[in-house]
Amino acid sequence: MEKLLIEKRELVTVIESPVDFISVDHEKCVGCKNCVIICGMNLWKIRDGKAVLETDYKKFCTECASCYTVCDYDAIKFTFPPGGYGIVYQRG
Amino acid sequence: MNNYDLIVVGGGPGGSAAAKEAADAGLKVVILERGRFCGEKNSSGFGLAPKAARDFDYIKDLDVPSLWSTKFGVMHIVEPMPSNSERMTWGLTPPKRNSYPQASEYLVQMMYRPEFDQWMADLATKAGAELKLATLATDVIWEGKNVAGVVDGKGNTYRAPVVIAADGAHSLMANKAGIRKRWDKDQIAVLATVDFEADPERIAEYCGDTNVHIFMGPDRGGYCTICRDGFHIGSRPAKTLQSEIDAGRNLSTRSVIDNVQLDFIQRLIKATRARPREFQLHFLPWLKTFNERIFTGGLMLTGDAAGVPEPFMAEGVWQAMYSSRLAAQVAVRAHGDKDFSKAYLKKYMEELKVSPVGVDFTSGTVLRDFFAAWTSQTFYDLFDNLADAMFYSMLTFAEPHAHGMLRVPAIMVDMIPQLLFMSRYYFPIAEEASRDKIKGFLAGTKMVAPMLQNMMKATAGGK
Repeated sequence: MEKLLIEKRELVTVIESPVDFISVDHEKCVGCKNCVIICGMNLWKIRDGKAVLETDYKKFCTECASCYTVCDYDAIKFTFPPGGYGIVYQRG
Repeated sequence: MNNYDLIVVGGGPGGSAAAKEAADAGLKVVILERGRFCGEKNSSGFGLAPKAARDFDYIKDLDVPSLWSTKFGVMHIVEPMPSNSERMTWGLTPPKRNSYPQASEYLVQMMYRPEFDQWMADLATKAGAELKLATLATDVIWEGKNVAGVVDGKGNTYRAPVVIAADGAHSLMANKAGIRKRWDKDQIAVLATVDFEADPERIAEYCGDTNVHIFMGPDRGGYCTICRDGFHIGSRPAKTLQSEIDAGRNLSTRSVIDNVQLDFIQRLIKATRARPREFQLHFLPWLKTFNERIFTGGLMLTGDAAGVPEPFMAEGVWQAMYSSRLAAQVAVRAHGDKDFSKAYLKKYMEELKVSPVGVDFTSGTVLRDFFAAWTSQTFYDLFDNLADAMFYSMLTFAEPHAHGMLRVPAIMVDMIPQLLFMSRYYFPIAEEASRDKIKGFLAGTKMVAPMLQNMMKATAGGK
């Protein structure tokens, strides 16, 4: 049987937030990779030993807050996009 | 202008249940929902438990397009990776022994969350609550030691002597009210889900009465929940963020992609002409014990914000409705007594703890471990042996029937370690659940013992 591929980024609808809602404090970040492991949309990378978000994360982030929750060094700040913006689940 | 008796943050089923309860009691209520519609931010395959129909009279009138009551659910024991086949499958109707009628009528009621959440919000607004959409509550207003309102992202203020924060697992209100900075990594699970759209007629033909499937196998598992025009494929549950970090890879996302490859799912996709429609990540609390830190002066946390999903499978919508309605009842009483202090709102936590929501945390630690063990090799081996035992005892075509049946006792002996493995979880749970009954029984025997001694004549072992 032909195997079906799941292209995650093509399957999310996001109204892009006009402002940042996740930030990382590089003073606190130790590059432990927890955020890289946990992000279901693969939006985090380690560059020069520090966590960095993809520049277009606002197009794909599902606002699950996992990155904030797994950061042991309190380096990640997470709120939500402004009301009316962000992830749209029509079939949640 | 923005003065209310009660502010409800979050327009999910919990928030709306609270708002309806309070508005029915005559309070001036506003719901602040960050989505453009209720349910826009909620995900995961959704089955409303029959408990909701038992406890909320209005659920009997529930009618949304995707609603499909589950009359038959199927469990699939899946072979170890890399196989995508099933070793054993069994299905069942709702149980016959039940304490209320709805529990015998359906297993769960399956539907899409935006439909249900909007239906619930309509009940709240019809009762008189005001609903403000696309409004993110970002901070609380303090008056002394009490929360006395909230601020939204545009700087608008809303004032009320009491706030119910039903704002989801990552609760900004819990954070701003100083109740919780974040959950522990071992208190949160993320379920990945892929929603497929499919031909409704083909779904009806192919699925019949069956719209819930659960998969489990060694180190794998997941679920498929089917609505009228599509279905969800869900990832393996029973893993917290901590276990994903320990494993060093994203288990839930990997799991859902693997589950799509299961033979059964591939057949379903083909038969119903399905194609992927939406990818979702569902962040949900999965606590082992009842969380008591759910209130402060002028504010109560409910639903996922309070961590009330039960410790076995982390079912949470009925819990959200129940806890939120209780919080609304306490808010109404607080208005009557004109007391919104932390000491007064503690009643909400105390009443929730002894309610069915709190009681569901009985043996929570073992329950959660037991559910996690469903995807162990030993659990698989148990069903692997059970499949052989059933084959040889009931339907062998492979050998003379009598010879086949002779194999069964040996298989049963092979199963002893696996049954002991199961009992490691089952007996502690049963013991804790029946501790009060055992206490009563022992107290009874203590009273009866002297009477029995008097009635019994001295025997050979005695004087």
